[in-house]
Amino acid sequence: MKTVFPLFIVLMYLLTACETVVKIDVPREHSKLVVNSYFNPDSNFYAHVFTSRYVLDEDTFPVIRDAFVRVYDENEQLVTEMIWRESQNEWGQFVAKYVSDVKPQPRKRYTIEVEKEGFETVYGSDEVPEDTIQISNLTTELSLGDYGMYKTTFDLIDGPEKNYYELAMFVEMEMYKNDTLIYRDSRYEYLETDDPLFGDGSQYGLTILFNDDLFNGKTEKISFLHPGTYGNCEGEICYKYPHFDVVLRSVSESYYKYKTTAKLQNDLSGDPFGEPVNVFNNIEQGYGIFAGYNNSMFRMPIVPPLD
Amino acid sequence: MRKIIVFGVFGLFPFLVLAQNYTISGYVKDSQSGEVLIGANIYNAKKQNGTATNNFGYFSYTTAADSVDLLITYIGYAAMRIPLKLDDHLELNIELEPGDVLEEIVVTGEKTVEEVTQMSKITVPIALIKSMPSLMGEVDVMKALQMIPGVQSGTEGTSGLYVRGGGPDQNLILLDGVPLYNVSHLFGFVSVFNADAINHVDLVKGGFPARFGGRLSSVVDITLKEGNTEKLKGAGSIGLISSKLTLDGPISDNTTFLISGRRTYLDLLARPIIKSQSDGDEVGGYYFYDLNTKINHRFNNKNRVYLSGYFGNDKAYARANYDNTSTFYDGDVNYNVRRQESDDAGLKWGNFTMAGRWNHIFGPRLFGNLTITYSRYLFDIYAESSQSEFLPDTTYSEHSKIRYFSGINDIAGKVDFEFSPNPSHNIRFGGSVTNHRFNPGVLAYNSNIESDTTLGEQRIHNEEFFGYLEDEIEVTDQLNVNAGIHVSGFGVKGQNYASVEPRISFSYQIPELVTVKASYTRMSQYIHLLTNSGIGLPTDLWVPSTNRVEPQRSNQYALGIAKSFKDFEFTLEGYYKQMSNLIEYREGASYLEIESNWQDKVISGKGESYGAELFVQKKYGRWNGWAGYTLAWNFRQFEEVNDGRRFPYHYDRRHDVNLIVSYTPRKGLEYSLGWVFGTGNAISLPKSKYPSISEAGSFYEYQVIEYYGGRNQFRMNDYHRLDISATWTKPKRWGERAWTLGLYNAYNHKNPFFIDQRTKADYNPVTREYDYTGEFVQYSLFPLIPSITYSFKF
Repeated sequence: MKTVFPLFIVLMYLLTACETVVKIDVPREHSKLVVNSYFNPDSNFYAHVFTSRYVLDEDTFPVIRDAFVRVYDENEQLVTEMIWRESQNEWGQFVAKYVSDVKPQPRKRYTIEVEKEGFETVYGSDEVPEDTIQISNLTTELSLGDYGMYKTTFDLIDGPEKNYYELAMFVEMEMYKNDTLIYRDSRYEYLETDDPLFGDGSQYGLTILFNDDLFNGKTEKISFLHPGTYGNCEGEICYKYPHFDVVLRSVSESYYKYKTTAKLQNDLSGDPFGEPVNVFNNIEQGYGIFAGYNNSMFRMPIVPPLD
Repeated sequence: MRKIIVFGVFGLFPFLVLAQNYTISGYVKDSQSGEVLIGANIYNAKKQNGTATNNFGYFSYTTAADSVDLLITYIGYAAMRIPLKLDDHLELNIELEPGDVLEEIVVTGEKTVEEVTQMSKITVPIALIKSMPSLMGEVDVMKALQMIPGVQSGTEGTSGLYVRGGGPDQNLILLDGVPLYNVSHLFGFVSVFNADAINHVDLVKGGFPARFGGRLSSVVDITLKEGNTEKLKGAGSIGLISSKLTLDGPISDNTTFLISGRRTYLDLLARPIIKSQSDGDEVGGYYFYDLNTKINHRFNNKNRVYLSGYFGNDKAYARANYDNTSTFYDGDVNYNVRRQESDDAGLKWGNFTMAGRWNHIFGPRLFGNLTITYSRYLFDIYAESSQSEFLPDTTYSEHSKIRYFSGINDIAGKVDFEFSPNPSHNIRFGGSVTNHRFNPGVLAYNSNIESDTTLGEQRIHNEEFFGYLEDEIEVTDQLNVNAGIHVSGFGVKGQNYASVEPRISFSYQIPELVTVKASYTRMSQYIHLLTNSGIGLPTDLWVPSTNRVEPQRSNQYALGIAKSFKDFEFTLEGYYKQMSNLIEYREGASYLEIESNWQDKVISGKGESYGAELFVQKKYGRWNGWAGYTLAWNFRQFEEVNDGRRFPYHYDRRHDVNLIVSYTPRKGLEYSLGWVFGTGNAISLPKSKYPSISEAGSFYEYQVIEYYGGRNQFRMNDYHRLDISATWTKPKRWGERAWTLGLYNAYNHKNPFFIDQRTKADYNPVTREYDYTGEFVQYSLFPLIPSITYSFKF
């Protein structure tokens, strides 16, 4: 036994030497308030308030219903105090958020303050950047050589200051039964571009963010591809697509940074060679985003190609 | 300010002294092998000054006195005393006897660490490198250098050097004067240097003399042996992953040679197994080899020529060949269809270097060397596929090949001169021109059924040059100065960059106490390493500075003290280094995006590092080795990363401890021990998460966002490891053999390699469902690994 026991210890030691994975403890962070609020002059202020979770917990986030959510102007005067409202949207989905009956004004800076017992009070500031966006020469045509994709082009007249934009496109769908309109909806077009002014490499998605680094203060031709459609019938049901809506937003720097870094973090998740991306955060003492934008919409009819 | 520095530097250079001086010059060699001794000290006891041999073993000492009492010393060799009367210049070739390792030789009058002007330079005895315990028995020069304070290893097991906050691309690694770019075999786990072929290794971390340039952080100057002048000698070893053999000896009275080769044999062992498992259709494997060659010819006492070459390659490959015949029925007719398929894929990388050097002694005070070099580094991934169908009346064939390659080809010429006009000055000057040809990542596709395609940036040609002037000045008996200037330039695609780099080092001996040293160096680096793996993969791209990517620059300030006590040398140094125009991949970019230009994928920023290093070394005796401690901070800052805020570098290691001990209790037995400790690497780990759910008009979005709190804000567990080995040597009729037993990571510490976030599923027998919980797990690479090596020499 005297010789067997040390031998056993050595053997066990060498066997356990093969175990190369060990669990490690990462300090648990205190939960913080999360505020998500975008604002623009066409809509009333609103905000979603949650609490953050430890990264290893499950992906459900407690909704905060009894917080004090206030918005102040640049002179620290109270603009509005939001109230909690639960409702259903047109698709029957449950929507719950803090709402206000006050609309923001362009080029004014606002600060949101969210106060909830048991949490640090959080703040975030931003402004609506630009009154309107001017474009010209908006056209859409089938792009030969791009597998039936449409190519939409317009000239963007950029202002002298640093500007950030978000581009989206919607197509309106009308559903007819025996020539009677029974349903109307507007859906996103999927956008695609490899124009360097949108960034390095190919950009794609439902929206594309870009800035005016390459054309500040000038008029720049913007073009992108999207699927498009011009209607079809299935039995007595017919679908018509009367027009495209190009929605171009002038967004604040915070809006731009938040959405670009969030997209990058999402795109890089699981990449063993990629450094993780820190998502921009402008909520002090907490997490989230309080950011302004301004919508401009440009409509154009869809003309089916000639056979 | 720059003008003042330049004027001051040149103002310190001497007017040529026309008074009567005598110069003693010659070579210092090993009496048994004839190998030159680099860094041997020639000390005049009467004047209490002297000089040291250069990289060719040559020295030149000028004195105004008509008699000298020379003491010639070199670590590991018996000192020699030579009193001389002088009435003219004298050529003196000296041969030193190797000392007995078991005798504690105390060499008096040796040029100690206190008397050397240069700071931040460490010479690692090659014998100690060979005796250090190593991973799988592979003795590795680069891993020995990682044990020096101020030098950090990267990912465990890899051979990259991170010197005083720099990156692995910022080291000028010279093999017989030829710069090497990728010095890794086996994905970085083994370096390309074969210790059996090496004569001398110097590492310079700061206080760079003006003769060095082109990299920001260090110079690793490795000199190959020249070859035994007396008789044919050999040495070799058989290890777990490779074997090697070195032969050297005389070809004629004036010519010697050295050839040293190494090869792994994992592929040879695996081949029959793979073949048997695939019915002989498939083969695959991995191997590396390297070969060092050198020929040294002495035309006469004034002229010598050296030709040396290095050839090394790594290759991982998989090949498959299938050949089968099927019978088909078409009505009443049977016909056979033969189908042949072959696939060949792999990756390979390697260096090929050639150097020709000509030493010429113009006179006793002027030594010159001309070096012409060619080097090539190539990385290549390839996949080739062929398919053929032989029908009765026709044949269908498809063939395609895809290849991604990158590399650098350099052709360079360099001249160096050493001039000793008088006892107080030792002047070096010279210059170099290099033509670089970069292939920064090219993807080529060709096929017999689709049009050929080439993506990525094509070759970039450019020229780099430098000139330098430096003077080692003995201002007083206590104060020595090495002052110099290095001027460099780089031209690429019509864009020219230039740099004027002052270099200055002081040493002041406080009698009976310590020597205080200080230095300032400015460095420029015109090439960059673009990497996003951090582990020294061959996929890392070497790219030049361009009109969009500026050269890297650094300023380093260092202050230290040095003291020798009996056999021990102590140094304590503090440093502060600023680096600019460092590059890295833009967030979200990857080398896998071949179609875009690499310049579109990079961002540039700056770095800052500072710290203190304590080093205690004992180079000779029954016990020898060193202990080092580094306290360091290391940061990076990029406008586009971490909201533009400064963040810790991945290899920011607050504490770094190294201990190397070799003990020889008796002839034929040697124990070695190495212990390292390092603060864990800085990495980015998420702390919290939160939803981004929001309706911004109709731009609806939902995403779970992970909050990191900044780049590299989390520390991995501390790294520590003990390696031990024992070597039994026995003389044989034909020479000497040795068995070495080693244990890497002897107490099996699970050192962090990387950290992963995963979901663990535990079956709950009550609910009969799985419970999912998240956890962070740390993966380790090397557990306890024993090794055995048989080596021999004759």
